[in-house]
Amino acid sequence: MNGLLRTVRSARSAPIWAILAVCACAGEAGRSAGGKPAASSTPTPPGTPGSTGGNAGLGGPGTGTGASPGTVPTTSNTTPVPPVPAGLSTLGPTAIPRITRTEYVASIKSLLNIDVSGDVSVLPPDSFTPFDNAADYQSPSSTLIQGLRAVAEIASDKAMQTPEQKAALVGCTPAAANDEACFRQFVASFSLKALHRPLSDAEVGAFVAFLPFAQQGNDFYIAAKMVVQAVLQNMEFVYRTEIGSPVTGETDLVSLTDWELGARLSYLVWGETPDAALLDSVAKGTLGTPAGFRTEALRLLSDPRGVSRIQRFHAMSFGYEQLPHSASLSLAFRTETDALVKRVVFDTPSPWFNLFQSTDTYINQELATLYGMAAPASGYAWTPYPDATRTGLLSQGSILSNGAKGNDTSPTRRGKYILERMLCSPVPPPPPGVANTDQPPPPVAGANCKKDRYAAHSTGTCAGCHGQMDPIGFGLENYDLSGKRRETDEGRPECTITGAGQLPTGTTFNGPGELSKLLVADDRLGQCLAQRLYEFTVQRPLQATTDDAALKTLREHFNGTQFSLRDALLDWLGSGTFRYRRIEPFKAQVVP
Amino acid sequence: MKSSLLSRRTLLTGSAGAVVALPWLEAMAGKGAAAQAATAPLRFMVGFGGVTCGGPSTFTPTTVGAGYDLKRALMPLANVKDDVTVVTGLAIPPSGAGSWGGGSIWHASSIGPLLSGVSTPDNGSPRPKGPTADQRVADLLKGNAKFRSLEYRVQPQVYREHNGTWGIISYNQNGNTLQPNEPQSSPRIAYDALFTGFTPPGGGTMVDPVAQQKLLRDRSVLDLVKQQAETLIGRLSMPDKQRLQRHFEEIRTLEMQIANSAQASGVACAQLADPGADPATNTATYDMFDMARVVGYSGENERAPIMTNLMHMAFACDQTRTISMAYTFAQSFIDTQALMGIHRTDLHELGHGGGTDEETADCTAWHVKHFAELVGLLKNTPEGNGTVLDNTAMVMLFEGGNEDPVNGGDPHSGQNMFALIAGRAGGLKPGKHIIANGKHPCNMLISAMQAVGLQSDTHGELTGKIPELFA
Repeated sequence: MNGLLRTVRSARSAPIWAILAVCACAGEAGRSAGGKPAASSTPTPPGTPGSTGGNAGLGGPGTGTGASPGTVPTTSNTTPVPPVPAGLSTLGPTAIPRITRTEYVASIKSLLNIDVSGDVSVLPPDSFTPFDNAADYQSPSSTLIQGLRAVAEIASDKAMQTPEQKAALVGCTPAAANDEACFRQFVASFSLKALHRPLSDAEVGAFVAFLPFAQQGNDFYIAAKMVVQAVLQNMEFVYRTEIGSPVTGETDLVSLTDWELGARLSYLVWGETPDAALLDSVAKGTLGTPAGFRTEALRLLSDPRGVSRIQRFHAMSFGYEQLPHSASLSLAFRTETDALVKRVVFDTPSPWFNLFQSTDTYINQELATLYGMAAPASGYAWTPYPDATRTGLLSQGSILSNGAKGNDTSPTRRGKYILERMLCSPVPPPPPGVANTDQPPPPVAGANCKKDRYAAHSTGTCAGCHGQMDPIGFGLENYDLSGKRRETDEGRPECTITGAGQLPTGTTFNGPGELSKLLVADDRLGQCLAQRLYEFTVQRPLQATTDDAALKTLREHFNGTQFSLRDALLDWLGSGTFRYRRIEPFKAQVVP
Repeated sequence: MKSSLLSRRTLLTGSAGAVVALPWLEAMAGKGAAAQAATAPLRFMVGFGGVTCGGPSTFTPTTVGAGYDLKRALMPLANVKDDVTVVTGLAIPPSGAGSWGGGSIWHASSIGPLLSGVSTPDNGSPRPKGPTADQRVADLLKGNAKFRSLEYRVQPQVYREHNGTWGIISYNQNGNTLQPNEPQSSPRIAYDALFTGFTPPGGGTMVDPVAQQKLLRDRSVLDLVKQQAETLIGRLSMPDKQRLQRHFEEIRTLEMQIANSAQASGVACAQLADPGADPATNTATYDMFDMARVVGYSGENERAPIMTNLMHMAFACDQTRTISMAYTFAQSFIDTQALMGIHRTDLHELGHGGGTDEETADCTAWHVKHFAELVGLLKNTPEGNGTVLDNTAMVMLFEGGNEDPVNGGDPHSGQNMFALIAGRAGGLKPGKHIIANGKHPCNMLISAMQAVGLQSDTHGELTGKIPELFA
């Protein structure tokens, strides 16, 4: 079949490609055609052969590498044809995303080996929805343009302060201030890393306009800094410009080029630009193969950057990315939770639900004292919980920090947190006309315990929603905002906390250990994980109906791997649809 | 000299072939003072403070009308009292026209009603559903100013709870698209944008050869960035293009702004001293009460005066005629000890019983102070026969008000709000205290927009100016 396709392509018989693509949509019959077209000697994009008159509708010839028309990178790209992915017709739409601040800092570290985390505050702040990457919040503005320019200048200065830095970055020794050969080599190598595709000769040549400044100042690195500045302001660095090439018969579906696929994978799994090995696998054509893709995806995921990314995914999902505690305590909580995530997802890949059922936790002296547990001999150590009242994530300070109101826990907010963050079951806002005081209920005469004060919520119009939230929160009341056990209300020793909680279903529980069991038994917990992972990947909130099928597919990958997050993610990414993009319609007025 | 300026006022072609226009020149108005006054540019400024004001007694003057007394939150108005009108008794209703939704979470839910006069979406989104007042007048006022509008913010960071949109108060309706205008919160960048290629009136050219060289390099870099962006935009599908088009346009705008040095005008126009590097942005965790809190402070006390001076010169040098200034984010988590020297909490918590009503008033006063300083600077900036303030309408709005303590005492509500309006553009007659009896704060903006020439009596879902402001 490969041979056939190769023949077909070499004959430039576009209609054949179109027919094959149509078959692909019909299902089994097209399984050998694939979204990835025939092997070729150049990274010409899939779909190009099917485009009319040899002039691709979207982007024109050469879109495969983003190179200008008429220029062809010299890399080879011999790729077997992957099967047509199931579920392509239900692929949800995505927009072109912008680099987040976190991704910017990580990419600059990777590209220039410098830290600009203190400099990116001039870029527009990201919004956490709960993820920081939602494309709908990434509106261009003059402030963005000015900020990108300012940070690019700072980065170019920081990156070339010492002779060692200059040599390492530029990669060749300029024979003169205006050494064009060395300059072009630097432009090409730096652009490849930053823009995750090779530039055409013409594109490299455009930078030569900077060389007279080097000559004038008798300093090669004047122009080198200008290169860094220009590349870091290039829209292909700032955005992941997934142009791809059209899929015949589909108006809004494109197949990503291998270069775009590499960038998409790298930004998803690492949150930064592809490394040399990934770019190499693109250039060699291996990333475009199912086996090659899986190898790279696994490599990235297993890398410390991949682990860290998955840990941050959890931190944003469950709202502990910024903890309201002292630096030392916040670090200890984060270390504790990160260790659990790493163990469950990577060290011994196991059902993700083990996050909630772990009977030991990774703590230091500070947390041991706080939780009332045996302290490790030194540093951090996995330490068993003394009994089943505490298990897993829900017992940890990073989770229990959520749901604060003022200086204390709010049973309402904790309940809302569990429903929305763990089960993806949003609680509707109070109905119109109901005063939302944003205040805990005030003391009532003769009944100042929290339980009594919140009783006001259980009557009238409040009861419908508060009846779902408050009883969950009360089941966690024995644990304060740092996860410390308490037996009475803050400052009210006369108010004993029972810790009795109840889910909206009526099932009762007491404390994090029992609640964890109930959550794990609730199908919505796994469904919610799948939803969050999907949202993180498509960089927007789930859209009812449109995304149902795609989410179902992802859920099936979880089921197929006994809910191993690592393996489900690998299977899902490797299932074939990952290299496609359905172009999201433009929304004139975004009110997320 | 005058005649040469006049002739140059026609469109000039810059070095890069871009078209640039000179700002409004006093010369244009001729020598007569009357003529100058007639053609002096009108300016519009709106300020926003992310603070829910304390109890009404901390700001409501006892006296109604002229010669009003200053309560704690308004003390900084002392030197500009006759130039500022205080309007109390304003309210954003929980339902109906320009409502905040009632059931939604208070705070950023007031941005839409306040600035755009539209009701908050059901989910409490901080994003208005219509253009903000500044953007409605920006095209009307722009003339030949360098910037169509400027959007600034003093507080650079969110500090807690992670929503960048809570600090955006300017939205532009561009065709079908409502575009958020992310404010510039770096004094460094704001300064560079205003003064790069700037030639003060009455001569003085940029002589610093180092700066001159840098400018040439910057232009060269930006030129390439623009070319590459243009190529890319041309390759995008229509939806992607629509989404990213503004990025390209802003690059082009920036390129034009730095590609041509602009002659500034205005008798009081002068290049400000370089502000140096921005104060560091910081969030820190402090023990407050019995637990630790994340609060932030990024040198806002140093940033605010720089921004005030930039706004002053942006008007005085006719670099823009429309400015929006978010002094703080909605629900600001700014560290009140660092900001005001009162005990350590954050601005939001202060209103939740984290401090006294007086301390809340003091933090409101922090915003009033910086607004008042801008009023004072414009008042002391001669223009024609009068001052720049005479040709300006400025409104200062706050995130929320305070319910009657007797009936609930919730510090988060649309009740008992106040706002300030300054300037004498369009017949505004400031210097008094007006009780608005439940009028919407947006009616203040309608008044200010009309004062600078907008031929419309509505903004969003609201209608009508406040006639007393002109009486």
